[in-house]
Amino acid sequence: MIPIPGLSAADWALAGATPLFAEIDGDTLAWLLAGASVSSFPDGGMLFSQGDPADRFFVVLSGRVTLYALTEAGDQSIIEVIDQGATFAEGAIFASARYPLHADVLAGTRLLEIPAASFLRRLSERHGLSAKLLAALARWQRRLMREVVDLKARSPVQRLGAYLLALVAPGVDGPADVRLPLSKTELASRIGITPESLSRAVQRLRPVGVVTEGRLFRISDVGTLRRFCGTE
Amino acid sequence: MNPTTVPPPGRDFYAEIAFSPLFAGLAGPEAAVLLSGARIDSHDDGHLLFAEGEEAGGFFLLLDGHVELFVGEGGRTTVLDVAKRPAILGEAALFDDGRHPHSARVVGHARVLAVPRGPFLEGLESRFDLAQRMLGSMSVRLRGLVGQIAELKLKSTAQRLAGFLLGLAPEGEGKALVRFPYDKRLAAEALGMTAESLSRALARLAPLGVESRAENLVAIADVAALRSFCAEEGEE
Repeated sequence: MIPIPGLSAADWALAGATPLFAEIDGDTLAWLLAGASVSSFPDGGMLFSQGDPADRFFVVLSGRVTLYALTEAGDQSIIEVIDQGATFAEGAIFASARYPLHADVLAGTRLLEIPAASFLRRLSERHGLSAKLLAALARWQRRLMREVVDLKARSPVQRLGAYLLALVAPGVDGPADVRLPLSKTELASRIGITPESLSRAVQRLRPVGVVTEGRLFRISDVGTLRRFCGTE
Repeated sequence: MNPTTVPPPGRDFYAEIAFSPLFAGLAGPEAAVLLSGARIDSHDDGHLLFAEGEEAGGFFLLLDGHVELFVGEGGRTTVLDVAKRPAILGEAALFDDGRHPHSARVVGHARVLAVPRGPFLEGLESRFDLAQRMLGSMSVRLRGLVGQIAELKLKSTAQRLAGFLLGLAPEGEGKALVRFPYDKRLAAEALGMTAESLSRALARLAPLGVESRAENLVAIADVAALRSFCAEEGEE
């Protein structure tokens, strides 16, 4: 029983498993998401601009969305990369009703778009649902705070190592290979260094057993890298 | 310590907290229930409002002064931010696992409204407008964090310091005289740099007409010029 046109059973399962909705049962979620629709972006492009009225929020069904800030000088800094199975822009619909960042979609991306007005109205009609959303925002805040701490407390080399560790499957302790889901330029922006410093940082991970072949990073011992990065 | 306690409900009490979007317009018996047990306290330097990992008994609205938010213990702490009015502190723990993800300590002096968790959470359950205000308030914080992350990633130390000084200056252009609201070491930590980097950054701002003076004062010759420096790309 899939309540939204164009949504496959797998899409619906994916939406129900996002952190924001994970605690809401299927029937309630179907009711809450009334009016939602699926959008496909075969060629990719811009989804919204910073400052646009936040009249929708989204679940990434497939593909990828990049959220970024622009300075007055036009520099682009990637703040978050949103992958399949994650929601985004849910925070924006509550406060000032403006998107705080720009969003680009990668070619081939499919999104579930949830209209803010009906979502908020329905949210108000059923008690207990807003508490679940508050919990989701609290978790997001925790995530961002961790990122701030990472940026402040670690050297660029440690930030690179921590990023690679985040790509390692949980529970792995010995050797591991990870493939960058981003270009090296995007990676440099994400961990807050220049592309030139990135190659130096990559070199400096060699003594702790990390070698690279293009986008593939070979970690000889995950435990050693964890100790080096202070992420035990 | 020695908190001065103002018992609600009183007209002055509500007037003092009405500036916060979360509490604006609250009054009457319903508000008294919601804020039962809430009080306004004054705290001196070093007072710990709450500690990382501690179970949250409530949350705080910062009325005046500064509160340092940090993680870690002993010598290995990282300052997340230094909060000022109208920040709300510690509420996220109430909606998550009940434990504070960071510590909060008074810098210099602070006046805070302390709101106990029980009655407030009950009120939140029955009033969607309040829940949406809280969702909105948390969203504003998230946007602040997103902005802080963007700055840490994108800006040089001199630009981040310039941004901090501009935040202390009144709106407009021309000259301004500002004072570090707390010691430079803490300002450096909040900006994600060492005290030495802050001194170097301050020196690098000198050609732009930024002059460090006695008593933690900084004279800015041209606010607009400093603002455009902040927006420059490829600095450093």
